[in-house]
Amino acid sequence: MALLVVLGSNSSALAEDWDVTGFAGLDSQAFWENRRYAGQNNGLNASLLLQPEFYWRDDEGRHRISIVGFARLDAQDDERSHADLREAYWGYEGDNWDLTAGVGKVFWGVTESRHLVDVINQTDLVESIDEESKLGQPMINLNLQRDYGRFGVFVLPYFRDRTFPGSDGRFRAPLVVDTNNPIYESSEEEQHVDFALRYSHYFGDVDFGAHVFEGTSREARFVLSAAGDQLLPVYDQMTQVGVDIQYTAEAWLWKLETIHRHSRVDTFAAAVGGFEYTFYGVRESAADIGVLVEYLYDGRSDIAPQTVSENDIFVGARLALNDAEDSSVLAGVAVDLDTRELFLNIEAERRFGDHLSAELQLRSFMNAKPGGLLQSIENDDYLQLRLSWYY
Amino acid sequence: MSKLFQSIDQFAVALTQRVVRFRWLVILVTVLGAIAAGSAAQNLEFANNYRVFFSDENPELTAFEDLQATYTKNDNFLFVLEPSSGDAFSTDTLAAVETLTDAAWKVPFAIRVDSISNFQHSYGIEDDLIVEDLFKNSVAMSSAERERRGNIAIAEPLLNNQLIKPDGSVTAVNVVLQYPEKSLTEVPEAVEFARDLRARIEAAHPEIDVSLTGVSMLNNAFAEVGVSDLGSLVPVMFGVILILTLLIIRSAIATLATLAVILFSSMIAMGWAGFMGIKLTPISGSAPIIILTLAIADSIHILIALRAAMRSGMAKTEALVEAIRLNFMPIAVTSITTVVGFLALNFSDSPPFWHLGNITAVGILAAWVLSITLLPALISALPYKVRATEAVGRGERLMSSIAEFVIARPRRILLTMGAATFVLVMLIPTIDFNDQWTQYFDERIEFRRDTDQALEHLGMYPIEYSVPAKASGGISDPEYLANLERFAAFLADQPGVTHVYTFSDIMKRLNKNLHGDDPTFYRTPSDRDEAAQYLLLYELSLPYGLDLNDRINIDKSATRVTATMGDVDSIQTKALLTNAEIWMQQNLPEYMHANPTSAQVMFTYISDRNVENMITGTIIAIVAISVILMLALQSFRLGLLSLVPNSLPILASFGAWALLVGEVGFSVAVIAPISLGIIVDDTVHLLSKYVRARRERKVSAEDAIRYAFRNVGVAVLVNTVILAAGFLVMLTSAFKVNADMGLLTALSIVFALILDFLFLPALLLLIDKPRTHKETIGVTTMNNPVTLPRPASIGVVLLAGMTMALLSSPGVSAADTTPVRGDTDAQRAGFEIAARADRTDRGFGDSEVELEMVLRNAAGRESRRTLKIATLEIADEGVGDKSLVVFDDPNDIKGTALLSHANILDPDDQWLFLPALKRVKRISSANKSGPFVGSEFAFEDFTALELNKYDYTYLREEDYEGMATDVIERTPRYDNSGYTRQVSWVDKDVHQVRKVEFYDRRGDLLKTLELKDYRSYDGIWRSQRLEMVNHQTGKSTDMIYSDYAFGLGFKDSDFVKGRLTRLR
Repeated sequence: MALLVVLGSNSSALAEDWDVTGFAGLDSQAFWENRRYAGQNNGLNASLLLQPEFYWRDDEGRHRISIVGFARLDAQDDERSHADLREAYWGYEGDNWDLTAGVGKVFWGVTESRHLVDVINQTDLVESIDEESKLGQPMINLNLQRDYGRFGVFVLPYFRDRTFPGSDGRFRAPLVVDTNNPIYESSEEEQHVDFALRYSHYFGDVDFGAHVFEGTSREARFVLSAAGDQLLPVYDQMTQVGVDIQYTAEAWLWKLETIHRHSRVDTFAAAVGGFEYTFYGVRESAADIGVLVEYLYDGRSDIAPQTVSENDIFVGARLALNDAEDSSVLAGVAVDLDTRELFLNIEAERRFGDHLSAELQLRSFMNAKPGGLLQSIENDDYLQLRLSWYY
Repeated sequence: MSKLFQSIDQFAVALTQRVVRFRWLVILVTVLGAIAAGSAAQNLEFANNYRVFFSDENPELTAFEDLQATYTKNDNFLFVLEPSSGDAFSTDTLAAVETLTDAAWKVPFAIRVDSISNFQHSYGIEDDLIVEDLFKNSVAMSSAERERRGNIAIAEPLLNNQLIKPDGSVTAVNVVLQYPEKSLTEVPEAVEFARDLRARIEAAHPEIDVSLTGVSMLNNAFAEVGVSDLGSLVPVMFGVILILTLLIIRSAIATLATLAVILFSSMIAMGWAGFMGIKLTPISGSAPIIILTLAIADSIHILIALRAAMRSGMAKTEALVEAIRLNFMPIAVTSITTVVGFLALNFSDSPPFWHLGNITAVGILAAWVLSITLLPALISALPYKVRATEAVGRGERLMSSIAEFVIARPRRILLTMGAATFVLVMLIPTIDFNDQWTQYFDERIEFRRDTDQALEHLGMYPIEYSVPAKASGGISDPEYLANLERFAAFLADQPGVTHVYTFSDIMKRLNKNLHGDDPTFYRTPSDRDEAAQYLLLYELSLPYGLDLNDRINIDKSATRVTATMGDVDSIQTKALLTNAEIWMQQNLPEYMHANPTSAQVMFTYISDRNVENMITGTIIAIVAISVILMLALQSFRLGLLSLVPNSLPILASFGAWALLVGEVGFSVAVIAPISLGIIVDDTVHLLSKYVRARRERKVSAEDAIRYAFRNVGVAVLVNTVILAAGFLVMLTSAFKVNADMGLLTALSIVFALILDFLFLPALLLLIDKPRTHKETIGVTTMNNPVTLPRPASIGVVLLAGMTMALLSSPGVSAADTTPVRGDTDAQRAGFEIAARADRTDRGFGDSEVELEMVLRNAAGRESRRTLKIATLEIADEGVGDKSLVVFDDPNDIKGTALLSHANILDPDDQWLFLPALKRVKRISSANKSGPFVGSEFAFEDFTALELNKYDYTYLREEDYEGMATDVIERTPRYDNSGYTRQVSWVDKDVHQVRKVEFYDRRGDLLKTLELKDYRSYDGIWRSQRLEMVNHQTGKSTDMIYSDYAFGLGFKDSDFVKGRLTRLR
């Protein structure tokens, strides 16, 4: 408890004051292949981002409030221009328990190429196809900390629809997803109250987590609209159980995530497992090189929400220069072992001065096969430069 | 050195001396011999029959020959006519079809022509059966009549999708040939005629696009692609070798001599092939290219040694003798292993591979002999000089840095490479065999283009079944016909099948015709005699050349069912064959069971057959090569060990192939022995030098590895480049089997280099050295080195220390139970001073402090970080403290947090919190020597300085900045430290560390830390300013602390990973 007081306080301000931070960014994307569908943007695309953050904690450290907004203005795609409340919650710290109420974000999992067990927040797909950007999730969350682990209960009273690119945007199927007319299995639609339980702890070198989720699937499957010109997202009810394990031994990290999911359309298991090995101080320098290998399996049928990771190998490398600018490069390639479709991803980051940071991102889809999942986006290779100003 | 080796050396010396003395004679004899042998190569011709890909014992081939003996040969031309009007029944197209049908009879060796025009259309008038050409003189037909007959053609099961596309847009003319098979000119002769015919049709009917394919075109393509490969690849290969040799040897004369050696080697090999009467195929045709690649290796090794000898001051002749003496054994061994690998190809099922193996083996033997005779003779006869001025040592420096890289971390390399290879090996089962024979040719070959075009419209790949009836004449049996019809219907239903030709369709039509064309009689006749009569009547009406002998056997006890497949691969074909077999067993009476056959069937199983047969061959090659290695290295153990770096690259390259390409043809079967024979050379060179260093110089494994890399590393690297380049040239072959073989072998060779440079030495290091204990402690004094394994020594030292402390250390107060470690006076004194310094820092319970870090680069540019550190002291000195670091600045990493549970000797437990993702990640703490957030502080400098993490030795007293200090040395006891030792200055007044010098893994001074502005918080001392300077990079970091706060009431539960998500 006392810890939170001191760590939460800002040196320059009184504890009761609001801490105002955030960033503003500019994304420039270059697509060097011609659009595949009429209306999509060709060549260059730019967009503006803004993420203001407000944070407050009382001087006793019991209460805290966090508000994080987000907005993007995209030059081309109206669906990609959007605003979201990433966080807006009140938190309370008890002795060995804590409570959060409001809009928040939760991450579960250990693997790098796919986050199977991370099921609380909806994906903000228009932000990035890597599914790492998430929408804020309304929740009430109670956690109990015990010597033998941490137990969390989540009540999720409102469902967030996934975002999808519009007709002007890249990374879309031949038909556009009509995000205004989603179909829910539950008659309560997005008002359906979802529940989740989470246990996590570590035993020596092994970190272990388990969860149960009952509620609306975060992934959508699609049906044709009545006019046949659009896709309507369908959100089924699902029950999911899963575990995530990481074994840390010297420079090795061995990771496994696995889930079992049941819905009215399908019952299946999926898993991601692999290792990360880091060469520290390569050639007597400060730089580290990490090698990542993960195998992805997904047993879902064709009617379940689609995934690109049914039988894939992901191989990647992470270079961290460990310099004052935190320069780093992450390069990875995922190969679909069934179709041999390839997805290449390279991300490089560096800070300039105290406020500006730059990120270069290259993504390329190769070897797309007719009927393969990459086919509709095979022309959407891009290079992106993001400049962000943190204040 | 053994007697055997000595006598080999003596032989090599004597041989070379004689070669040099009689050099002109040697040159004359070898040149004349090579030309004489090469002249036999004139007899070489390319086979133009795909049957040469199958041995006489091949079961699929024998079955097919049987079928062809019963019915007709299936050599054919298929003309596919594609009118741009999209109407195959226009007057223009029909005129072309009629002309072509008539003219095709004149194709040499043609025995039958089938087209929509000469299709024997039958209909009934009353009880009469009328049989006539479907289209005759169609120019005179009305358009209504053409349309009516067009509909008949499309409705006819024998034509639809076989000779006419269902939408009536494309039609085909099939010409069946029977070659006497007496001369190799037969096929080209027929092909020439057919091509001419096509040109004539296209000239007369410019609106029609004609593609020409069929088995005869395939046969012809084998010969054409072989000739084209030889014509295009050999010059490229020569160019590549010329350039590489010039680059490596840097002497025009030596390059010339090398070219002579390899040129004569391939001449001798090809001459031998001509002498043996071998018919070349595209596969055996690649032998010269492989010989060129392999033959050069011998010369390169000798020339590199020669250059080194001459640089060291030897005269040319003397240097030649020495170069050959040094290389005689290795060249002999590598030549023999390569020959063994290639000879193993004789186990294959495909004669072209036998030929390739044998021709190459002869070429390699020739290269071996020539490189120790012709090469020295030429060098000695021609003016050869070595330029003394040349940048020596770049290659050597690279080699020695590789050697040091491996020596520093053998375990890590073994694990990483092992894991990587394991992943690749796990992928091997995902490789699919695909032998779609038209795809053996790439698009440069006309046959492939024409066939692809034809395949867009009509099926191309027949599967033949000769379905027996009960007895002679049994094909008229209604039960037989009904079953035949069901079988045909089943086949037609299968994926990939475009057309089924069955006798039952003819019988159905006849039954209808003879019932006044009543469509309800379009079924197989229900009466046996009736059926036999229809058949007789029909046969009598058929003109010459269009009889039913190609569908029915002579005593009418079997008919032929042909299922034609469209654009399928051999995996799909295999599925069809399996399904059909199962279906037959379940649905047909036993006497009707038939085996599939055809070229398509033969190629479908060619991979399985070859792989099956080559397994034995590969095992024998592996055993033979291992025995040769054991003899050459004179070590059973190393010979066995060498199997690992020799077989892993082959497996890894298959894995890489599975990942990159995924499917492979039957060339895959021979890759293992070929690659093995080649890649074993690198291992031989490295291991023989390693062994020599170990045995003769009696050096450690590490030094032996350094020696091996220094001496042969460059040659091995150069060799790999040449071999990989040679096999990559094959990649440009228009024949896919060769291209696959080239790429797979090149992959293996490159993987072999990587494994030989990294994996092999790491393996040697780990298994070939006595148990040494890097992790020993207390090795700080000369007179008492402790070399016990770690756990034991810790126990002993602790026990000794405790006893000492109790008995003889009154200086330590009774209240203080810290045991003194160390077993010399210096060690005990050092430990006591460190323990006293530590005690004044401890007992604080918990603390919290804000910290500003100023990072300064060599140019003096600064960047800043601010962070807060909370610490919870754990009183037990055997357990580390817990700490939590939260970043405030720069803004983009604000909120990032690091939670550590320190352990004394085991790695710490650490979790990192990434606020943008809200992700908590357990991270490895093996990174002790890595920089903390880009600063000059390593993680190990920054985390709690636990007393028991080090061993101590007292050095001296010294004045430091006006203070009297004790100087002690401490050496890290934990793994992964970046330091060999640290020297610290501890003042005698308040017992605080004032300065620390850090020495890196090489023992050089790396950094100096000065601790300033000490302040006492009620007896707990803290430095408020730490300044670290890196002497090697010129960078520095200052840490400026705010006031510490103590006694904040932190608990264990404040330092759990679940808390990380709620820090802000």
